[in-house]
Amino acid sequence: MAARGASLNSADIVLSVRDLKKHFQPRRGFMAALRGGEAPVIKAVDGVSFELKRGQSLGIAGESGSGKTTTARMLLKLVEPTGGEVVFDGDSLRDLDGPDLKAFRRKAQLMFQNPYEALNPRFTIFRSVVEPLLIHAIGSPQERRQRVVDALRQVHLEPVEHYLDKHPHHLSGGQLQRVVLARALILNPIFLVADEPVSMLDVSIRAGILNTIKEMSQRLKLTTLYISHDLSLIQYMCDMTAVMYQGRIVELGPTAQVISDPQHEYTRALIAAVPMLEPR
Amino acid sequence: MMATTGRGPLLEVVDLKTYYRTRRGVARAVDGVSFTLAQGQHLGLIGESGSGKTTTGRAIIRVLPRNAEIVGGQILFKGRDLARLPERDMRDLRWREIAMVPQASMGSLDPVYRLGDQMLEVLVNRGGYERSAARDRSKELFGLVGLDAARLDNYPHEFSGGMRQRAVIAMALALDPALIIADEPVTALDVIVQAQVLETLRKLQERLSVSVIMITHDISVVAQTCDSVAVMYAGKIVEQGSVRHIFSAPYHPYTLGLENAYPNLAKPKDTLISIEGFPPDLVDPPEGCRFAARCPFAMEVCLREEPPLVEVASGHFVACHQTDKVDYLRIKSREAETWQRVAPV
Ligand SMILES: Nc1ncnc2c1ncn2[C@@H]1O[C@H](COP(=O)(O)OP(=O)(O)OP(=O)(O)O)[C@@H](O)[C@H]1O
Ligand SMILES: Nc1ncnc2c1ncn2[C@@H]1O[C@H](COP(=O)(O)OP(=O)(O)O)[C@@H](O)[C@H]1O
Ligand code: SF4
Ligand SMILES: [Mg+2]
Ligand SMILES: [Mg+2]
Repeated sequence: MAARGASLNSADIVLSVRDLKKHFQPRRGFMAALRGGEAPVIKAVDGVSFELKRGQSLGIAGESGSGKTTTARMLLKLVEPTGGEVVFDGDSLRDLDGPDLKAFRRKAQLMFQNPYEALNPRFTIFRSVVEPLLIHAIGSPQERRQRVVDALRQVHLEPVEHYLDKHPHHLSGGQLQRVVLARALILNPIFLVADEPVSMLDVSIRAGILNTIKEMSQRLKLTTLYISHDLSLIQYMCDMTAVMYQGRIVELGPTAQVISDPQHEYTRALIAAVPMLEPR
Repeated sequence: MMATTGRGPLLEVVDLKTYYRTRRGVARAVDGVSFTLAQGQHLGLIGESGSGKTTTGRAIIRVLPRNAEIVGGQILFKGRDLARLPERDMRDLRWREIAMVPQASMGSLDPVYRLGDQMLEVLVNRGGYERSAARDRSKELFGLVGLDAARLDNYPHEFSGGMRQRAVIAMALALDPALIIADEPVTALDVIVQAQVLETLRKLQERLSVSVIMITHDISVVAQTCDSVAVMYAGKIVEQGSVRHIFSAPYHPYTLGLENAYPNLAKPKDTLISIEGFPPDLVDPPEGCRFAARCPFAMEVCLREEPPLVEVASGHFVACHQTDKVDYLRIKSREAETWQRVAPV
């Protein structure tokens, strides 16, 4: 019984990150080459650790250049870490290859900041959303079509027929971001990374996208990682908040606690910087 | 409110119309905009992308693209109508009287010249400064926006985004203009740097008597830096008044909707609600209220008759047929279901 309980518990952990590091060695500039000096390494991520359970949502806040995107890229195995380890759904990402890597690519998905760059301008919406199913050779043509229709409906692009044959330039930024979300969800992932998914969109329509991400995460019990400069968005989206500063997590805890009772000086600065709605 | 100098407003924009010629026809980007600005006043011009904010700002300083034209209205600045001023006279006015911090202005600095040299160019060539006086003035200006004068020797790429934005603001202040038009001055910056730039602007407000038109899509920026607001929608001002009025007692359904769309760290909301739908095509705008297609309160009359701007409280103007039912609108607009009739954007 005890053993079983323990294994259930560890199975609940989707993502476990230990002392993750990514150091970049900038190429020497012309002047540095003349002087013979080495440019100093950039410690973009410098020892990040955390764990995420199934269904949990973690927000990463921090100023520009603090290492948020680099961290996310390592979690998705888009770049290799300089040090440390990522264990995803029981497997270390380091050794993943072949079919295991392919399975990982199915289970972990990314939502980009700029929906215009995320979609191929020559593809119809149908083609963009069906693409992952084709890559993973899933379903018959009829089944695939049905899954695309279902996915678009779930992100509230209705009537679906209206969108299937359109190209990206016919859609607004908000609609495109919904398409991106539909494509990210079509493989039934268990982990979703959203890197500033609404920062390019008009404020009046951001809420609709955020609500859809929230709704889908809850329905699919997704584990989500949400990256933003803006703590008020993270407050709205995430149970847990990590504050990054110069490549490290300086504070990590339940969102409500981090925001109402920040322990680290930098967290306090970040909170103070969030624009307040009340006139001065 | 501010600057009741008795000398009348610094700027009075009356029924301004600025249109673009496009392949599809004439786009009525600014279509009958009126507002006044007193000396020392900071006006926030807010609205979503494409609502005509930048076009309004560029019309005032007359730096419009070739396919644009001011087709009607007046821009009365210190008694002169800029809409009709010959370009030669307009050139004398730019930088000296009216300066612009253009949208995406971090790219407006020339990468091959030191910031100090770019500042000198404005001071000497536009302002007739002696070189030594110009150098002193440059240092003073950098100090004013919180930059170290020693950094005048730097090139733009040696500055962070926020520092570059402050340098552009310093340059706009160079010849002590009466009016600065700042187009999205913090939009590209991250939260921490944004806060620093806004703080810089706030300090200027306290120390100088310069008037500012602050163009932004972000109402929190307006809340922190302005005394009055004009809300634009599809080429028109739909609501305007003091920041206090607009934030505490908004009337227009679009303004009410915006309030719901913003997360608020201090007072977290259970649900954020967006204003679904699209703004209308400005080449062929609908009759009646331009917000009607997205407005949950639209009635028959809204589709037929354009609502006039009426004064609902002292200095607070609203263009909506249902200002008399504002209590109902305010209650209803807080409910998510109210906004769910329209297709997602
Ligand atoms: N491929 C790369 N080569 C060299 N340096 C890099 C590379 N990618 C990122 N960096 C550097 O690593 C640091 C962290 O970058 P990262 O993109 O993770 O920041 P971020 O927190 O996502 O910032 P933002 O909020 O601006 O997106 C920065 O100093 C950046 O310049
Ligand atoms: N150079 C241009 N040529 C044609 N149309 C333009 C041009 N610039 C802006 N517009 C159109 O004018 C309208 C208002 O644009 P703009 O003033 O830039 O709005 P905002 O600054 O509020 O985003 C939009 O419909 C936009 O597409
Ligand atoms: S005039 Fe009518 S459609 Fe326009 S904002 Fe008012 S209620 Fe809505
Ligand atoms: Mg990033
Ligand atoms: Mg603009």
